[in-house]
Amino acid sequence: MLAIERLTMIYETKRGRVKAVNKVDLSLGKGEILGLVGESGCGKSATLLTILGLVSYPGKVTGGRIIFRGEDLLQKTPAALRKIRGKEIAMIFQDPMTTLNPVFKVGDQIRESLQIHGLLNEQAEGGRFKGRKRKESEMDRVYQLMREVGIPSPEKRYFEYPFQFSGGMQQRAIIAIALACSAQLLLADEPTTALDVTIQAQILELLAKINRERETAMILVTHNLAMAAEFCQRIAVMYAGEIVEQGSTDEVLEKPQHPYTQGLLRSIPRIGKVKQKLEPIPGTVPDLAALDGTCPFYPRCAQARPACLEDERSLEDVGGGHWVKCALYS
Amino acid sequence: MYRSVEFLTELKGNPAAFIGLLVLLFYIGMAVFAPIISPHSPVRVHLDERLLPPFWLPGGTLSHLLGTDVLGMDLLSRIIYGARISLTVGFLSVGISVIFGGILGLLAGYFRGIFDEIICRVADLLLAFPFLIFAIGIMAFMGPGFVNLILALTFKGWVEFFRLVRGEVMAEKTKEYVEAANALGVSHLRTILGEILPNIIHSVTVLGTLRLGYMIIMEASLSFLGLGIQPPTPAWGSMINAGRDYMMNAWWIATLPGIALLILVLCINLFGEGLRDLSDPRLKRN
Amino acid sequence: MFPIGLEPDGGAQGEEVRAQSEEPRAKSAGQKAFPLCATSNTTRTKEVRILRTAKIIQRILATVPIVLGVVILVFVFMRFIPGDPVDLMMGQAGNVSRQEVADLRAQFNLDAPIYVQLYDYLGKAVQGNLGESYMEKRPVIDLIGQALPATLELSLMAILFALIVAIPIGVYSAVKQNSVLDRASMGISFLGVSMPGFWLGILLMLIFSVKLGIAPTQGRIAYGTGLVKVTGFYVLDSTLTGNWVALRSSLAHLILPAITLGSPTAAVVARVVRSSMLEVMRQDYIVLARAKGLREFWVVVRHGLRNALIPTVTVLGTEVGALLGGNMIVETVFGWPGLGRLAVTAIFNRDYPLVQGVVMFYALVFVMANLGVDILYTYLNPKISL
Repeated sequence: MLAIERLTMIYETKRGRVKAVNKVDLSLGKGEILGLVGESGCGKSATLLTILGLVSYPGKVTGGRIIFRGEDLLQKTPAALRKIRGKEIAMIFQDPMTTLNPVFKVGDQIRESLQIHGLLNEQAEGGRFKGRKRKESEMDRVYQLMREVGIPSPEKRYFEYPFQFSGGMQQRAIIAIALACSAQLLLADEPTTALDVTIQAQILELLAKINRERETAMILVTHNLAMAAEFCQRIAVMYAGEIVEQGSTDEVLEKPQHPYTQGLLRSIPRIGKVKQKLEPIPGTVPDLAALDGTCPFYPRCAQARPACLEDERSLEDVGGGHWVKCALYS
Repeated sequence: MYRSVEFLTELKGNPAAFIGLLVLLFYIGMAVFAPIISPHSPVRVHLDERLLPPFWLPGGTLSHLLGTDVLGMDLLSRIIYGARISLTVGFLSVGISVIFGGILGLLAGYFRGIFDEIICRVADLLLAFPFLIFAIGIMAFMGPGFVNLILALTFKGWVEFFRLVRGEVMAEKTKEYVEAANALGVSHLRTILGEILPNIIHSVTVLGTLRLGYMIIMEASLSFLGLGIQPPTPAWGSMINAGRDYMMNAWWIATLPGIALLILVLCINLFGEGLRDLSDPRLKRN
Repeated sequence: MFPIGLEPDGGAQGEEVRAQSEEPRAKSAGQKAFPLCATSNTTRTKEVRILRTAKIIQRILATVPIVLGVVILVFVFMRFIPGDPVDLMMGQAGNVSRQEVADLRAQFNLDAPIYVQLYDYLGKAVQGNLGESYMEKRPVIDLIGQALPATLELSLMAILFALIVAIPIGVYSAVKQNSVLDRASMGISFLGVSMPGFWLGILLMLIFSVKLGIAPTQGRIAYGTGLVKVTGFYVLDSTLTGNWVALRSSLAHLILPAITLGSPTAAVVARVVRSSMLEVMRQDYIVLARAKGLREFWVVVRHGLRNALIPTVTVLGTEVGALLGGNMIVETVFGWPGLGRLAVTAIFNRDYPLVQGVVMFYALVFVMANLGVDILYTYLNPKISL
């Protein structure tokens, strides 16, 4: 349902053009969960924002296509894009504490989503959304959503402000906002990072339930490989704005092909393996403004070779829907 | 010495603030050397040269570059001398406010207790009056004059500095270096002067600069109402007031001193904002 | 600590601090609350309302000592005047006998100890009796009441002007940061902050009245419009009575003073709105609002401006003080028959009871305005209640 082809998004800065998203290819089927994995600052969140068309100055999409249900989102007018945003593609954010608007009642913020897309019986866009005009039937829909994401006694909590919600509850409210219009695609940007461990599991369970019951496709951005392993059917590994490896979760984790993925897996502890030695990847993430088209992992790669310095690399199929972007396999 | 050089180079990164400083210095120079540079006496009456326009208008003469007022007094000379009044009142009222408010703030913030309580109540009370109303009230009761003017401006002016210093002292006091000094048995006075004061001097300077422009406007406002500096002493506010009646046929009398005032206050504020940005690391980074 | 003046730069920064201190509490509460939170949440909404009411009552009570202090302070200043009121009155009346002076002293209660006088004064002030004007031989409170509508009309118009001009400019400047319009309007607003009000008034008068001749220079209304006074607000009165000539005239008289009085406030508000909008538009909840598919206009106004108004209101509180002081100046420049001119005239006539009354009245209005701003603040910022 979603196919991204050679998507490139840059930030124009004083120091030059920062390629935050660099020729990214991704695909996602209906009801599928894709894990987008990588270190912080590698362009995962930027990819999500680009899909929603929320890149603003100094960011600019310079190439590629985002085919969603047969149509290229990049070709759409802002108005047409707005109709998709929140209704067909919804997003969940990293820090629930700052994502809800502090001055509006939580229920009204959920209700707003319904209202924007004309799912309430009143005038669709931009009208008032506070106060007297709240109708019983509309409230019921919000209560129902709140119940679905596990917010107890919604009749009371509808009228509370975000600061009266705990972090976990806030994230549930944000998920309710995302579910309001029954979006088929959910973009989750590190939805559990800011939460306590116990709450993390609950939120993931909730997302899994939504995926089961509503067949919502998801892209889960995370830096946590273990979480991706547990939760996703497929994994895409991102490094310095590029997708370097993509495939089914088992394939990628059991038979990692790209030196970066291999390094990443060696650098995290695994439960069950006794006396395992952790090896950090040497070096640091390159300056995104200074990329010259060669392999960005080249300076840190143990298997580097002259071919790595060639300009054009593409994702190569290494069998069974497992794709790798590395000179070793081309 | 090194610090002041560094300061100037940093300030150059903010051209508006740098220009503000230069203009302020120019005004100070103008005030100090007023007797030398002003072409005429600011108070000499020439009834045969009344209401002369500035030199670029028909009827203007080069001997009175900015024209003359209703008594034939040279406007340029009066504006130059007016800078003396504005800057003296400004610097004195801010200076006294800083000293008075600063000392009270240091003591109240450092020792707290009943003394702090009392001063805070007094400050609250004074804050219940709008600044100009309060100053006007005092001038009304005490009568116009230079000393009364300074008193009226400082009577409420110290509160801002008191609050700033008190707040900063209370914040600084909890920091480790003060606690370390206390633990080492350093006397209170030495802790305040040696440890705390240097750390809050910058924010006091910034506030002081910004208040300087404000005090100058207040002085001009009071003089404009006839409650501050009285004619024929050349103060911009009273000059503007005197020019109000002649707007139909001699607009320059009210307008030109206002321009001198506006430029001075504008440049002081530019400089003050520049100073504040220097001290704000968040802004520096951007 | 400072019930009256709100912290001078307490806007966005204070907000951050509050938000930070909120987090750990909310987090830990959340851990306990889930999954058994059904019981603990039922009363929360009511709780907010009760706490807010308590906060407002507490805030109102806190102004009582301030009001008392203001009255006492003004009374004490009265005592500083060289010579007592009787001397001043006698000075004007010419030759009077000693006996008459003593009688007058007794009449004014001036021979009593000072605390008796203060008590006396307070008692009268509570009943609205602020003494009698020397010049007009009328109760001060009547004179204030007479001049008040003019001042209120001017001040309200000035605030209206300031907000109508400043808020859109501030918002636009933030949204189109560094655009030509942003730079221009911020430059002008910086000029506005540094501009002495009386000079701006004279300048406007010079341009629009003297040169262009399109606005009157003095007073509230032209002669012979036949305005019937109902409320004392001329614009309102002329509308109520359907006297369009008078409405035109009163608006024409009002516009320059209102612009003069409102400009410094407009300048400050535009700058505050801009800087808080810049801060707000960076927040995650703005991205969420966009991700919901909301039109950018509503993202800015509903989600952005609504939050940016919180620090703006704080600044408005201190601006009321500037506005009240500016009143005296502007009313003098434009011959506006309000409280400010009443006070200035009283000062030159050495009409001390009147000066005292007006200064006190101004201070009380300022205290009340700040109280109003604080109460408004608790409604704008739901967090403040807890």
